[in-house]
Amino acid sequence: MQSLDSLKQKLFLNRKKLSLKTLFLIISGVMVLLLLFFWKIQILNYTFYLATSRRNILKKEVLFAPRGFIKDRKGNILAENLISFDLIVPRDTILKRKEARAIEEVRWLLGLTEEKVRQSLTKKNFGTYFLVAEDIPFPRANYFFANRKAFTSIELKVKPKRLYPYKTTGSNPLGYIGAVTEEDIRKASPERPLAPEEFIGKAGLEKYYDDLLQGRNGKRVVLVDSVGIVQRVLEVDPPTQGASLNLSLDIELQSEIEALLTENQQTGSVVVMNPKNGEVLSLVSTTLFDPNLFASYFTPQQWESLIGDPSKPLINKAISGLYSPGSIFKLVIALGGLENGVTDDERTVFCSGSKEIYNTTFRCWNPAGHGTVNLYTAIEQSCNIYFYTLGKSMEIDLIEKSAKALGLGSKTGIDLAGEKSGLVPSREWKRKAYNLDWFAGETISVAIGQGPLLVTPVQIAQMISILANRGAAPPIHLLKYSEKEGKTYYPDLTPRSVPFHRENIDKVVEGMWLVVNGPLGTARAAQIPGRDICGKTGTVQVVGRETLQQKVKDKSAQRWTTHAWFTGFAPKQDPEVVVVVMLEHSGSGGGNAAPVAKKIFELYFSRYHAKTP
Amino acid sequence: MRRHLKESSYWKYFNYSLLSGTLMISLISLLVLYSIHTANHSSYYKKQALFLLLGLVLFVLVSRIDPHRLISFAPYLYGLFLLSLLFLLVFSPRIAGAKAWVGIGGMGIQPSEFGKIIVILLIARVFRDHDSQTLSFKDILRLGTITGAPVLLIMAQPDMGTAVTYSFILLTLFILLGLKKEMVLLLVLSIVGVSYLGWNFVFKDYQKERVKVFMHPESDPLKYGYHTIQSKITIGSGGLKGKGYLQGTQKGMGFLPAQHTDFILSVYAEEFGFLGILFLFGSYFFLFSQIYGIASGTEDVECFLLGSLLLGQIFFQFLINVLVSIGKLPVAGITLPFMSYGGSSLLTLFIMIGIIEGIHMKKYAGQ
Repeated sequence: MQSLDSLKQKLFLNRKKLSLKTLFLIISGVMVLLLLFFWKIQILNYTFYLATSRRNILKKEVLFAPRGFIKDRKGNILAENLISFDLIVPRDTILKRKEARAIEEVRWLLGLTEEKVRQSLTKKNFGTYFLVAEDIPFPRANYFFANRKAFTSIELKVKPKRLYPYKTTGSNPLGYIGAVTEEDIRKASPERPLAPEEFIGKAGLEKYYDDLLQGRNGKRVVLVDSVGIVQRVLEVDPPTQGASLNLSLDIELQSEIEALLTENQQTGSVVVMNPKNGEVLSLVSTTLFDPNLFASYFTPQQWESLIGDPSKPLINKAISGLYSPGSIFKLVIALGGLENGVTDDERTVFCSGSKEIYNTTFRCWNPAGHGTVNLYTAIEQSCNIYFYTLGKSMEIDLIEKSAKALGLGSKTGIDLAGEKSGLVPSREWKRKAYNLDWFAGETISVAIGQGPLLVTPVQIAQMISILANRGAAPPIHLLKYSEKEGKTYYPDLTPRSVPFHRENIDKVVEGMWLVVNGPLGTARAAQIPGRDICGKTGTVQVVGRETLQQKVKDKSAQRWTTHAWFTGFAPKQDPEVVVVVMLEHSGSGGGNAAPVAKKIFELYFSRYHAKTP
Repeated sequence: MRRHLKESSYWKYFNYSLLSGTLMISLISLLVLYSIHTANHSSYYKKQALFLLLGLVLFVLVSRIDPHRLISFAPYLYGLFLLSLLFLLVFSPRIAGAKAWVGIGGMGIQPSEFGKIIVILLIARVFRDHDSQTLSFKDILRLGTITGAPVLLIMAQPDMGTAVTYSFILLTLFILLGLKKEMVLLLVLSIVGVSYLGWNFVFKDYQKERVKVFMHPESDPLKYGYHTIQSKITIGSGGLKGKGYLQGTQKGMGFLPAQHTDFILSVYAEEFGFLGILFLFGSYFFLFSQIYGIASGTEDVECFLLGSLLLGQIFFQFLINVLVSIGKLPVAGITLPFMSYGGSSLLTLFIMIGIIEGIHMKKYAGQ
């Protein structure tokens, strides 16, 4: 049986082996046929395909999305985009050793010397090309396109370029853009990848709202011939522009205030805002710069000149300048004292010009003394002795609580990049920072706004808004709304609640009114009849008294002069404007900051209430 | 696993020609993948080198197993294979648009690639007792069921390219076992019918486009037809001697799609020219001859069927890919054996070669 089976199998196998042989013959024949196909393509049609391969080059280009426009509250354009032409040398040119030809063409187009061209030949390496010259003049670009065939080794790249028509004006809140770094590219979200040529927001509004301002890049796939002329566009995905920002900023007011400060060569910052809705009208820092400079690639020298500047031009002092609040802080003590029942408007303190507390002599700014003062007259005349006494009773804990309730010690959340949070000292802070217990004596200097306290001008603006509103104030912001393709985005303006009673705030406001309008007020220089301005001055020692006298003898005296604060709002009833003036090394709050504030109030009223009351 | 040869005799009877043909093509693949790396910084050549090493290990392991044992396991493997395809359809995320991958420790494997071997093993088992001149209707039905079940599941992933490669098994079997005239007619009719249904109810638009454009390349030279044209430009511009290794100009421009898989031959042809093609096709022919020699040399029906089916499988895959790259077939997504990048594909091929080496060994097992 088995042998029969195996015989059958053998027969079957032999028959099938014939079929397999057939298959193998088919394979052999097909291999020959395939070789013939390749012979036809590679040998017979070689010249045709070689020519085609040289002629046709498919290129993928990024179409850069223009950033959104930025406009002020009256529709003036603060940031827009121009078309610019960058002169580039493709990497291929260098690879094909046509460098000399490229240099010749650059000379020809821009009229540069060979040495200059060689220097610029590696301004920036983008991998597939070298950037030689940015933003070449329009007539030159025109010439290039008119004589396109003559230029075989260079190309022009079209890119939107940011333009700030007001130049330095408003540069601090606007911020600037800059070329992406490797880190930016790594951190970019997968939905919006960044190309190495791109510019993104690096400071101010440009940075804070970068996601809104950035558009979506498009792309274009083109067939170009050996000269670089686009033969056919295969695919276009147009870019979409970023959302536009409509700001509450009043660029003309901003400009007038900037001029006011720079005319007198004062450094510092000013905040003008509406306490009712939190809208910032002006945010001035004397550290002005031209953001247009940043819209190009920097040379190291340009960068050096900007960051090497001793006045630190890139710091926005209104949001990141940290200062002692000085006597402005007395408003915090007054309100906190009333709110916690430590004082009332009937309690009086006698000021003889100095007072012994914890075995130390604490002085009033007025060596002659203020005599008997109550809450109102103490604010009016900024009497230190009253607030030493009040602060001593409140102790650091209540002071800390009141300051934080008024927004000090934390960021206001203004829509700008780079805001600082300042510092409100506490027992816990001291333990963490110095591993030491809080000394009762330290509370006394904190009570008049000295000591480790640090605030930013914008924090003071927020605090004054709360007082002006007699309660909660909407968050400080610059963006009114943002628009993209018909959709509008509004910022969240929910006010944060404050734990103060209206009648207590009214009492503090009464004191602030006296500061400007009272017979002995420290800021009478800010008085405008009929405008009912309420305010508070502050004069901040930069170093101790003894050191100052020493320094005055030196020529560096100016750097050791006191900082001057004035902050206020108007009118007293139903306030509509808050002004914060912070002048560095400029003297006293009443003598130097208050007159500047008066001018700013006048500028505001002349723009928004043309008729005098 | 029981070894059917002692260690000393394993190496004594080892068919080095089979392995050297395979290795020659695999090394050319690494060269081309490296050349592609210089143009677009892809890391395929490194991964492919790893897969090649892994493939060699699999090859040695598989070649030591008696093919009969593999065939006896076929029904169980087939069951597992169908289950894994079902599992993929239900649970797996889409990779490159298809639910074809099982993730294992950060690497993806495609069961549908390995499944070809399993289907071939099962068919060799089912048809070992076949002794008539031609295939009966019942035979065809059995064949259709065995291949049809996984093919339907693979088409649902959807991965048409891989599904098509399963038809090579049937094609080879028809050539081997013969078909009656009526059967040929029936097959042609059913292919037409299935194509009609598929065209209207299964194929995606992009797949239809490929076929349409293939029929009329001038209708859309810039989209789907463009790839074919560019592939021909790439091959043709290589000429007799080629542009030289790493000197290809078309690969870097980014308009030859799937350079590392479907169109790897074009990149090779550009740099090494017609002479390179002659050498590469020579290597393939050498490999096919070795497999043919082993398959026709065996006196065992199962081994014969297994070897022949594997030969057909590798050859038809080669043929389709080459025809696509010279524009004689629409873009199908079928890899060039041992050349195209792809872990599952390469490992599957090495297992196939391992089985063929095992058939060669089997011949000397009794001696």
